[in-house]
Amino acid sequence: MASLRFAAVWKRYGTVEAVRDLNLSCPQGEMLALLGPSGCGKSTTLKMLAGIEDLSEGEIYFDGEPVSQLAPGTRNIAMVFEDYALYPRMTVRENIAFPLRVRGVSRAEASERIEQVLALLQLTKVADENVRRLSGGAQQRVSIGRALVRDPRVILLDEPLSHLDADQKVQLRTEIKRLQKLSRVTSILVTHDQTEATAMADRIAVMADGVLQQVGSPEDLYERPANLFVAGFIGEPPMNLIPVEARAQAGDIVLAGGGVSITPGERMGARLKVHARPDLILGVRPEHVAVNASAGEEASAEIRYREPRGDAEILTLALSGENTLIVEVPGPSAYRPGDAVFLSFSDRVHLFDAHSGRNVMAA
Amino acid sequence: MPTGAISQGLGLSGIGKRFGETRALEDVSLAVAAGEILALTGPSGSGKTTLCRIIGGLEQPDAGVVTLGGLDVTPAPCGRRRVAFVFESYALYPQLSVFDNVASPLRAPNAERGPQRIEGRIAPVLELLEIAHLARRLPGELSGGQKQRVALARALVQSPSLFLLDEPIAHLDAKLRHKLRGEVRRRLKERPCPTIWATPDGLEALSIADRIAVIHDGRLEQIGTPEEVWLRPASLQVARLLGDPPMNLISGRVTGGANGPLFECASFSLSAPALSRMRREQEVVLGVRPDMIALHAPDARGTMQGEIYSHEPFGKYAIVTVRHRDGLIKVKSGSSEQLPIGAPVGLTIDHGSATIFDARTKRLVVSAPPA
Repeated sequence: MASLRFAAVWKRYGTVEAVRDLNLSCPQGEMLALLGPSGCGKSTTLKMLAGIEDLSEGEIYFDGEPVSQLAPGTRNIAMVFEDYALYPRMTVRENIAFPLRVRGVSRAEASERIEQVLALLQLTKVADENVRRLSGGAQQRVSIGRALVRDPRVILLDEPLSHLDADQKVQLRTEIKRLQKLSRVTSILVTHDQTEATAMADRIAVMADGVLQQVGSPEDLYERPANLFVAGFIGEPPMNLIPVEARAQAGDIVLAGGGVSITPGERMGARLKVHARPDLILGVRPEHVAVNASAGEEASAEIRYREPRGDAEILTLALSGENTLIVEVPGPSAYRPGDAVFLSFSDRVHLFDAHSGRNVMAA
Repeated sequence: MPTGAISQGLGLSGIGKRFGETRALEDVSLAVAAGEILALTGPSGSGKTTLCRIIGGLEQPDAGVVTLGGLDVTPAPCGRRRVAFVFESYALYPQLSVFDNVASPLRAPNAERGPQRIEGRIAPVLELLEIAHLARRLPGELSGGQKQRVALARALVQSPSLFLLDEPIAHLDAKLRHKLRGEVRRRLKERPCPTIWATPDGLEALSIADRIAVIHDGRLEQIGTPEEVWLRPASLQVARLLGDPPMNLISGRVTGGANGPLFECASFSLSAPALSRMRREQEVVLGVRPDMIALHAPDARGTMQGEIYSHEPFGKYAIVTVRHRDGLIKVKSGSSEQLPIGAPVGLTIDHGSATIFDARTKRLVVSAPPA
């Protein structure tokens, strides 16, 4: 198991810069997610790590040693693919045994390791079944077992849940996180799904257009997004982003625009580094807006539609003008389209510079 | 046969279908009104797609009748039913541009001619689905999510007797899915015809539908409003499909306690109002929603004991999986405190929230009262 570090890594395809000046590290035993939309550079980064793609510039280190000149086979990296890539004619046990067999590990040692991995993945009962008879979730567990058994320095998980049904996704997400914690193998997870990254990773590196936007724990990204991209990408439903300006009003700063007017409380006021100025974006998560039936709050709105989701309900509200706001309330609620409601905002709001996109609130 | 702008409800009565020895559908009956969106949901292989194909006239049922606008259309071929489809496989014309694909049903020889020009009908729909900039592209140049939006646009520009949408937003990324769900729903609601929206995702079904039909193993398990199926899941199959994460289901039996009947399993017993009408020794399954379970210190009084199996922090809540003697239980916790794997923990279940299913029939016996 190794620690990883990308130092000033670039990847260019002709004039296209797929990865730009990436500086990122992953300590030993951590699971780091590379998260972003398609084309953000996460898969290119993974390929450079695996040795499938060369670097244009920079270096990758395993435990402080440069590896960019090492052939893929000598880096001792195990991969888990989205389509499992199992040997279809083999049993579960044979699939897991395969990497040890090709490496000539002694029968006794191999057998002990295989049994450990089968037990860890709860595959002992189906060890002698053909892998084709298993559910997608179980097949992906076998593929993880095949990666773990060879004791790799790093495991790369490339969209490991994307071919699974929703219920299997939720189950395997829990299992992968637990396995990674128990085995303490340094792991890199590549995904476009923020829910998966949040559920599984210790830290998340958010990428867009080849550039690392922010790296931090799921909580860091949720509570303190560095910029508008991260703010909009992390969280479901996504954060509301409302263009506002900061006005001085009777000694206070008021954030107003888009049908919303907020007078920041003391706690939030202290974190606001802005004076009266235009061109700000107010960020409010749907779960941090309180919906009330009585007047005198910070905004009034009409319910446009409601989406029940069981224990929660997502309401789309029409504010004054063309503006809409998404809020999340406990479900099932009694709200119906056309109802008039009043809103109040908690102190958990974010403020961004409309031009640079940067978060302008103090931590 | 409905013609012109006339279109009313859809009716299915006693629909059955076998493929060789396999029963695909059995005795499915339901009605969908004009302007109503019915979500058809169930796990993969439950019969959703077969039912869609029968409704659309791509497959003949072995038993039962399909009506549209009160008329029996069972023997009518697909082309005469005026159904606007979205297939999960998109079924786009590879040689036609995005615009021409979307325009194709409006240019068909038997298409109804609306007052608006074709361009005028198509542009707003492409705009809504954020594919206007792709109008001149060929399907081969598009991503899966873009193709799916083209297929959806091609359905939305029509004035059909029925919208039949098979997983119409499954391949969109989460943000776009969230954004479009509401807008697409609003447009479908304005139409004077019914919509069938098939999806394996129980949460999507709850979000978009007026009523939900849950199919399992070819049978209709339950049909009702989102609130009804959420609060009173008619069977274990329905309970497994709904919720994020779904209800915990724990097998046990009813026993007699000093103060009335108890639910008892290997690791705990629980008295719950739902048990008052139950027979002693009955084998039951206790259903408890993850948000109705609280975590406590391991030695706290009156708690059941377990250990942390996994912890997934989502910001607004965390999903904590706890191992107890009967298996795993999922808890939706408001606390963001990190809990190490293997740490002992105490659990309490909100007694009032217990739902009871019969272990043998797998049907609901007593639902929890609404909160």
